[in-house]
Amino acid sequence: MAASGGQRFRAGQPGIALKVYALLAFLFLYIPIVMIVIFSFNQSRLGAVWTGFTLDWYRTLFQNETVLLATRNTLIIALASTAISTVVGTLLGAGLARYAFPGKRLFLWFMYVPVVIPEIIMAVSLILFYGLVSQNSGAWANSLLAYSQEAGGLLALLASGLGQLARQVSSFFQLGLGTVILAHITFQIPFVAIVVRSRMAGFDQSLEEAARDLGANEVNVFRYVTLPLIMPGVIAGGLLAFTLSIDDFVITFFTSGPGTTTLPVYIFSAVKRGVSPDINALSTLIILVTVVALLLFNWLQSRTTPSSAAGGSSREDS
Amino acid sequence: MTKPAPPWRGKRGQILATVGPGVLWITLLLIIPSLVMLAYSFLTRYRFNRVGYPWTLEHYGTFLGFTQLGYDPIYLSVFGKTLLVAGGVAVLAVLIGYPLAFFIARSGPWKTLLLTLVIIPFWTNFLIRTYAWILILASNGPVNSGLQLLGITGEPLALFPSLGAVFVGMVYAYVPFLILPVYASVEKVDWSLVEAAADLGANRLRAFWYVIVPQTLPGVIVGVLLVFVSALGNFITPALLGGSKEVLIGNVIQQQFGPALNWPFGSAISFVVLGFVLMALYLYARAAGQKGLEVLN
Amino acid sequence: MRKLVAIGLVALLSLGLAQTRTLHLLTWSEYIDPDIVAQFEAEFDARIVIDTFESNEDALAKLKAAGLGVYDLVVPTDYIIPTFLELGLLQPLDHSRLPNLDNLAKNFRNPPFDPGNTYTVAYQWGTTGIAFRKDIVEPPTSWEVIFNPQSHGHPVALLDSMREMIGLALLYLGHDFNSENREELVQARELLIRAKEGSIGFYGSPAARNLLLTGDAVYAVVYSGDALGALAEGLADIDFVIPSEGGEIWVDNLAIVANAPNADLAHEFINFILRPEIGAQLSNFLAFSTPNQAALPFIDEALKANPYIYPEAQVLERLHYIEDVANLELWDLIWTQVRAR
Repeated sequence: MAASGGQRFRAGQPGIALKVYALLAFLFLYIPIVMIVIFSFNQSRLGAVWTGFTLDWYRTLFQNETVLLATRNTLIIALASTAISTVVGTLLGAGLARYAFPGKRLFLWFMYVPVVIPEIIMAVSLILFYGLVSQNSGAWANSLLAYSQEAGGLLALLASGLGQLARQVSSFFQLGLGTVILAHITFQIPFVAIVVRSRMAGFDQSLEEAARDLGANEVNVFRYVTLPLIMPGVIAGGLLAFTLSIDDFVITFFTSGPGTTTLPVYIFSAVKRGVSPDINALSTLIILVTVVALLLFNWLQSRTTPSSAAGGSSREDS
Repeated sequence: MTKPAPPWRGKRGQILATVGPGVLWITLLLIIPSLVMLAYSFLTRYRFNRVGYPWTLEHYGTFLGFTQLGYDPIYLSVFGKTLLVAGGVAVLAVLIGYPLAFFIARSGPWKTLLLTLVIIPFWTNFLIRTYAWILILASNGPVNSGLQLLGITGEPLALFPSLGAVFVGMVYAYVPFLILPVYASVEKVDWSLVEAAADLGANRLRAFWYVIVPQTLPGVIVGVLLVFVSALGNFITPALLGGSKEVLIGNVIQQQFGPALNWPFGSAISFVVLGFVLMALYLYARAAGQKGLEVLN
Repeated sequence: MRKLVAIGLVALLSLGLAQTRTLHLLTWSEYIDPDIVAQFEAEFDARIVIDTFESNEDALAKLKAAGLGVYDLVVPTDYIIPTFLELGLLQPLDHSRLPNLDNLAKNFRNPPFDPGNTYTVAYQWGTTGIAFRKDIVEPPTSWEVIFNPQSHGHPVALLDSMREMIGLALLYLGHDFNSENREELVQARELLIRAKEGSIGFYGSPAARNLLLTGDAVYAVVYSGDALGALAEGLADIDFVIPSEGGEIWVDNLAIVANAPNADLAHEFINFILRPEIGAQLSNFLAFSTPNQAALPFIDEALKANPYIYPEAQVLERLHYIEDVANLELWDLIWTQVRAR
C-alpha cells in the first residue's frame, strides 16, 4: 500500500510552486460559483455594479409559478427514480460483488455503458424508442378495441381489456413524467451499483456465514445481515442517484413533455435569453442543496465498517 | 478484493435475482433503444420527418458529405472540429487538474477537506456552472468592468460569445472529472519507489517523470477519457457560450431531433459518434485490462 | 430565509390542489401579457400551462415529439400552417363557440393559408426588421448593417430562423424573398456566412432583444413587438426600423391541436382573446399588431402611428410573406451550411 509522506525525498511534500498553482486552480474552480452567489443578492438587475444588498430576487423566485412547478417536477422525478434505481442498483452491485460467473468481465463493461455514453446519444435513442412503443401500442390498442366491438363474448372481453392496457401503455410512453423517470433510472442504476459494490469490497463475510450456519436461507441472510451492514453504502448510492437526477439536463431535455419541465431545463431556457437575477437566486439555492447533499454523502461514507480500506472518503467519481 | 466468491453453479437463482433486474433494465432501456436508433439511421426520411422504407445508406452518405449541392464535407469538418475541441479541453483539463489532484493527495491531514472542496463544484449543476461564465464574461460583467476600471481597456471586449468562451466553459465544467480519478491514482502511488529513485541519485524531475507519472497514468487516462467523451457530446456550452455560432457535433445532432426534424440523419450521426466512443473505450480496455476497471471504483 | 422556505413549501403544496381545468398552450416565448393569463384564469376558473418555442420549426418538432392529446393550443405562423394541416396536427374550429370571431378585421377572415378560418384565428401579426440602440447609432437605412457587420464594427445579433434569415439575405441581394434559384441561394449562403463571422451569433428574438438591453448587441434582427413592447422598456433606448430593401410580414394564429384534451376551454380562450379590450391590452403590451378590428380604437396612439407596426401602403409593398417552397430540403441544406461552417 502507499506509504504516505516520503519525508526525506523532497518531492513527497508539495513545493511552493505546486502550492501556488493549486491555489490558482482552486480559485478558478470557485470564483464563478462565488460570483453567482454574490450577484444573487445584488440589487442591480444587470451588470457587475454592486448597488445594494437585497433578498428581492429570492422573494420573486418563490412567487414564480413556473419555477415552483419545475421544482415540484424535479423532486417528483428525483424521488421516484431514486427509489427504484437504488433497489435495482443495490441488488446489481451486491450480485457483482458477491458472485463470479462466466462473462462477468464483459458484463462489467456493459454496466459502464450508461456512465460513459454521451448523454445526448442516450437521450436521442430513448426518444426514438419511446416514440416507437407509443405509436405501436397505440395502433394495437385501436385494432384491439375495434375488434372487441365486433366480436362477442369472452374474446371481446379479452380484446377490450388488452386494448385498454395497450392504450395505457401508449399514453405512458408519450413524453411526460413517466418517460423522464424511466430514463433517469437507466443512468442511475450503474452509479448505485458501483457505490454498493465498492462498499462490499472490503466486506467481512463471516457474519453472513454464521447466519447461514444457523440455518437462514439466502434471502434472509441478505435481508437481516448483509443489508443492514451495507446500508450506509446503499444510502450513499441513493444520494448519488438523487443528485444525478436533480442535476440532469440533457436527458430530461429530450425526454420530457409539456408541463414536465424540471429546474435544469427551466434554467437552460431562461439562460438562453440572457443573464437574470432570478437565475442567480435559483442557482444559489441549488448550490446550497448540493453542498448539503454532499456533506451528507461524505458523512455516510465515513461511517465505514472496520475492515473497509482507509480511503473511505468520497473517491466516488463517475 | 475479497475472499474468493463461492462457485457460481449452485447460485444461479441468487445471481439472477440480484444481477437480473439491473441487466434487464439496462438492456430494455439502453441497448434496445440504441438498436432502434441504428435501425432508424438506415431508413428513409420523407417530408416532415415521416420515416419509412426503403432501407438506405443515404444518411451516412450525407454525413460523409454527399449533398444536393455537390460534395461538401461540412459534417465531417464539424466532427473533426469537435474532436479537436474535445482534445484541447482534455489537455487543458490535465494541465489544470493534474497538479491540483497531486497537491491534494499529498496534503496529509487536509486531504479530505480539500477533496470535498473540489467535489462541490463537481456536483454543482452543469448549467449553473456554464451560466456563471455568461455572467462573468458579459460586456457589463465583472471581467469587463474590472478591465475598464484598471484602465486596461476603454470599451467592453466581446469575450462572450466566442470560441474561447466555449473552451473556458468546457474546461471549467470538466476539470473535476479529471481530478478525481487522478487523485485516486496518486493515492495508490508507491512512494518507496520514489525514495529508491532518490537513493539512486535521480533528481526531482526525473523521479517524477519516471516513477510517479507511470503510476498515475491509469487515473489520467480514465480522466481524459471522461472529459473527452463528455466534451464530444456537449451541445449546451456551444449554444450558451458560443452564441450558436460555433457548431459542434452535439449541436448538429440536437438540431436533427429539434427544428431540422430529421431523425434518421440524427441517428446516423449519433451512431458514428457512439461508434467512436465505443472504439476508444475498447482500446482503453485492451490497454488497461482489469486494472483499468479498478480505477473506476 | 426560513420564512421563504415555508412560503415555498406552502406554494408547492397548494400547486397540487390547483383547479382541475387546465389549458396547455404552446406558444412563442414572451408572447402574452401575464396579466391576461391571470384574468383568464380568474374568470374561467382554470389554469394555463404555457410551453414555449423560439421558431416555427421548433414548434413543429415539439408538437410531434409530444404527440397528440397533450397540447390544446398552438400559435403557428401563416406559412407553416399547411404543413401542420398535412400532418394532421390541427382540428377544425367550432365557429358557433366563437361569437367574437366577427371582431377580426376583414383581411384576416378567410386567409389564403386557411380558407374560412376553418382551423385558425389570427392572434397577432407583425413585421421583422432591425432593432438598434438609438443612443449609440443612427437608424440604419439598409440591411448592410446586418449583413456586413465588419463595416461598422458594432456587435450584431442574427435571428435563429431559417426562412427569415435566408429570405432577408435574398432580399438584400435583390432577389425574391422565397427564391428557389440555386445560384441565388448559394449567394445568400455566402453572405450569411460572412455575416455570421462578424456577428455575435444566432438568437431567438426575445434573446436578441435582451442582448440589446445589456449592450452585448447594438443591432439585432428581431420581430417588431419584441423591440418595442413592454419588455423592451426602461433599461435602454431601443428603436426599430425596416430598411429600404424590404422586410418580412407575418401573421401568427391560434389553432387547436388535434385530440386536444380540453378543446372546450381552448375555444373559450380563443373567444376571450378576440374580445376588444383583451385584444387591445395584448397588443398594447406586446407592441405587435392586432388583427382585431374592434380592438383598434383602444390601441395606443403612439403604436398606431409607428409605420413599422401599422404600415402604410408604401411600407407594405416592400414587406413579404414567407411562402411554401417546393424544395425545402435545399433551404435546409443551405441553412445547415451557414450554421456549420
